[in-house]
Amino acid sequence: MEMPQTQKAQVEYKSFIGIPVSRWVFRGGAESRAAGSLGFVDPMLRRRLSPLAKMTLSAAYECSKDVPGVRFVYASRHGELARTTVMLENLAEKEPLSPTSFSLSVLNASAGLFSMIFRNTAPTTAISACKSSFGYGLLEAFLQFSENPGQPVLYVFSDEPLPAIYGEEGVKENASHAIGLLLRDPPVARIRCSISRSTRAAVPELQSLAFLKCLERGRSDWSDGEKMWLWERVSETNVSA
Amino acid sequence: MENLKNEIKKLIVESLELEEMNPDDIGDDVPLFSEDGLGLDSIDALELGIALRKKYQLGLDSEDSSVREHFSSVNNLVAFVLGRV
Repeated sequence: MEMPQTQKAQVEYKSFIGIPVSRWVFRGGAESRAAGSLGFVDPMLRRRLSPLAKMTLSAAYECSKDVPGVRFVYASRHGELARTTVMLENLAEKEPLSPTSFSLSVLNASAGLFSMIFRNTAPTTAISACKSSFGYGLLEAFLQFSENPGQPVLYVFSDEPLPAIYGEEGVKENASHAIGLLLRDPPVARIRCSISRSTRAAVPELQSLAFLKCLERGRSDWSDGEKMWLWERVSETNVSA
Repeated sequence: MENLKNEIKKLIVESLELEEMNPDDIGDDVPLFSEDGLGLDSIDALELGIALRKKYQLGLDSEDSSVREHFSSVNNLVAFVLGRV
């Protein structure tokens, strides 16, 4: 007997229902430069922040400034690769490395800065998962939230285009950006996330920006050619930035 | 001498990315690594050491206890650089 077309096409691996988004912010392009003042950071620390860390902390602050002790999940595909690249160039030229750059070059640099700036000793997690870094970071944040739904979880994803020396295919529109979400009940939007086998070719769009469309329009999807990610709003409350 | 002083102040501001400070804002005798002065920290000390090494080809020995004294103010740095160059 023939399987119905939809079943053949959609082999679902997993779905997560009810990711509670209580607040969200976007930092990118002109907005990220406007947010560059970061008045909540001590100037002696602020001078050491990379553009990526500034966007990340700006989004984190905006989402959680009135939520002390919030748990924090951070995700990025490339992290502080701009710093690492300069250090690799220094090594190649047999020059000494900048201690500032060295100490702030790891993926969890922004998560560490967050905990220092806000004197927040709650657990922080840093995630990187190639092109799906945004999606898996959000799932990590949701799973942590589910373990203790009484306590909110802050999720921030941020990324920058690769340094030119890596020769990736062009700089994508809005490639330099940060997205902050506060997972907390009651939400202004509940998101269902489903992951299934992809029947489509990889899309050129960044996964994080595809997800934003779900908040704006109620539904969006994204594929890396292997897995299809689908996000749907499951409650009908208006979301505003 | 005055030139070297200004050069070192500029080096401090630039290598430590003291965004909100002009080289002229740094007093010749103000303590660099004290809360009463510039309030620089241990990472700054390393960073400044590298900048001085690059610019003046200074050999710095981190085990040498007099380094702390040399780094304590602009005037001391000037004397240190003059003595070594």
